[in-house]
Amino acid sequence: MTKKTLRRQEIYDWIAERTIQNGKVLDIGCGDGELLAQLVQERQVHGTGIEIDEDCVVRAVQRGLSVHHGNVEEGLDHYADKSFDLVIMSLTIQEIKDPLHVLQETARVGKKAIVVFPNFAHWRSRWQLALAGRAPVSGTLPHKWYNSPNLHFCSVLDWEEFCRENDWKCLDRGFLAAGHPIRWLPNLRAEVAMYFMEKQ
Amino acid sequence: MNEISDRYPGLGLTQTQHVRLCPEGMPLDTQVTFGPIDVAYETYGRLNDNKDNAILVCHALSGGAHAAGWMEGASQPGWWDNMIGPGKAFDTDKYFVICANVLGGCYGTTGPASIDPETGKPYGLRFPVVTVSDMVNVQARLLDHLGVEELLTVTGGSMGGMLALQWAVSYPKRVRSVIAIATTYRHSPQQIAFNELTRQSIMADPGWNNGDYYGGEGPRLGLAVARMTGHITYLSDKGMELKFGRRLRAREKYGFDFSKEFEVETYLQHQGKSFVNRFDANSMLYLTKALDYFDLSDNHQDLTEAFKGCQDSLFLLVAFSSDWLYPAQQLKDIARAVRRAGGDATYYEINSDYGHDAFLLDYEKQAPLVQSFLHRVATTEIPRQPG
Repeated sequence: MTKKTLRRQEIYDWIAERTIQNGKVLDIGCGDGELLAQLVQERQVHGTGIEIDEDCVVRAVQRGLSVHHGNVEEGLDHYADKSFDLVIMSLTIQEIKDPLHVLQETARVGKKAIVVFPNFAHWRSRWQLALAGRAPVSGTLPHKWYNSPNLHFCSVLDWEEFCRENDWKCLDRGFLAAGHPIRWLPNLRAEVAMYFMEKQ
Repeated sequence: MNEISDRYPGLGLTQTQHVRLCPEGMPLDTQVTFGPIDVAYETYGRLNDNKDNAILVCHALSGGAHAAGWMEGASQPGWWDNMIGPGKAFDTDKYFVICANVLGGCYGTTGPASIDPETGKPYGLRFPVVTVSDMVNVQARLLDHLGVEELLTVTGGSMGGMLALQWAVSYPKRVRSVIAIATTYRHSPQQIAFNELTRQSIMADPGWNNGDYYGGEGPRLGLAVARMTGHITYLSDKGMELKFGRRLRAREKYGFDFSKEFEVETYLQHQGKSFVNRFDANSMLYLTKALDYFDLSDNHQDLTEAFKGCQDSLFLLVAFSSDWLYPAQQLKDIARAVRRAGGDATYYEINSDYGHDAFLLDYEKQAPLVQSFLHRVATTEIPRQPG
């Protein structure tokens, strides 16, 4: 079991580099608005978030953000087609009940999307499952089986397959382990996968 | 000086002011022209030189212009004193806060209990039926009188929230933001039903006498029962359980009679009786009717279209989890319509056991939110359309 906690700043920077200046951005599962606040500051975006946790919503509003307090499905339904230049799901998708529907809605309300998810096929997870015979617990998957908010587990390969089958064109991709970029064997070595995409 | 600020903390003593507007009359939604209209209002803080720090606070059904500060000798401050004052959410050191009694009310603004200049007697049922939109139009005339062209925000809970939303739709160019709390964009059949119960309680009382009771007792019992109904809808099942349980008042055992013995009965009867001394029954009829007619999507294809003109206004919509009179879903519907219309809305649902009353009681959760939102509004540049 690793004690390393997930480093979010590298993810945020990767997203910020791909965020259009002055754009309209929706962050699904925005938490306390840390990422959106960075995008507002660095990219002068008009940032909106969806978040279910009450305390997080308050903190996000205190950062000067516009937020919907509620679940993702309901929040997305509130927006007209192509309302956003960019829709972000940063470490959210694994916790969503119906990812397929949410991704379809993402394609409807957004022109482009960035999805960041924990790579379930990281070698440490494989090790824990295959050799130790235990459900993986790591920096990106820090929970036990009984208290994990994660409902869906997918790997880099799973994601690539999903994108092919559902006509999502990958504009750019990035992989991280312990905050450092991974260039080869991402499905084995990446803790976090980041995809910049566009629906075709 | 210190004695006064000790006795009257916050804004200290405040005064209600009066102005006569629309001497030639104002066209109402019913096509009737009505006037002159006296308006009772209070202001707190100072309008700055740019005239861009004005906030209009709209009161709920039984409220009035006295939103904050103290009346001489009063034991309670104004109805939203915990939100308005120096250093509070609506910070009177920064903002110029205005609150006016609505058209049809009974706290100083012209209503059915006011004297009809034509007859020299109270209007009673000769008072015209008014709508939320009419109330807002009168407030707009008041702002003209005060030299306030644009509002930093217009806010209110319950009926006040409806006025705030109506403001955004009627005068989008004058409204930079809206804070609407525990409210709706239209009265649902259930809300109309409760209002009808209120009205029937009043009208069934012989003391009502077709609205012609001024100088006499009036429908005291009917109004009290009406208020009891209201109070049930302001609480929640869980809130009542916590507040009263099945506790008896002044008794150890059941009396097996019809005297008031449960604490909840005592509470409701007290609320009913004390209300009779402070509210006009005809005003209750007119105001509840105005709420029942309220539907922002009227004259529009749908609610989204109603908000099409409000793209430059920021919305903060606050709901309470246990409010069943104005359920959270109605505020979500507003958020959806504003967003679908291309506008900016923040929606926040406060977890509370207080039911509809939470909008006045749970101020500690609302205050930081309102404060941050106002800061954002004040620092957001408005994209001005050319021309």
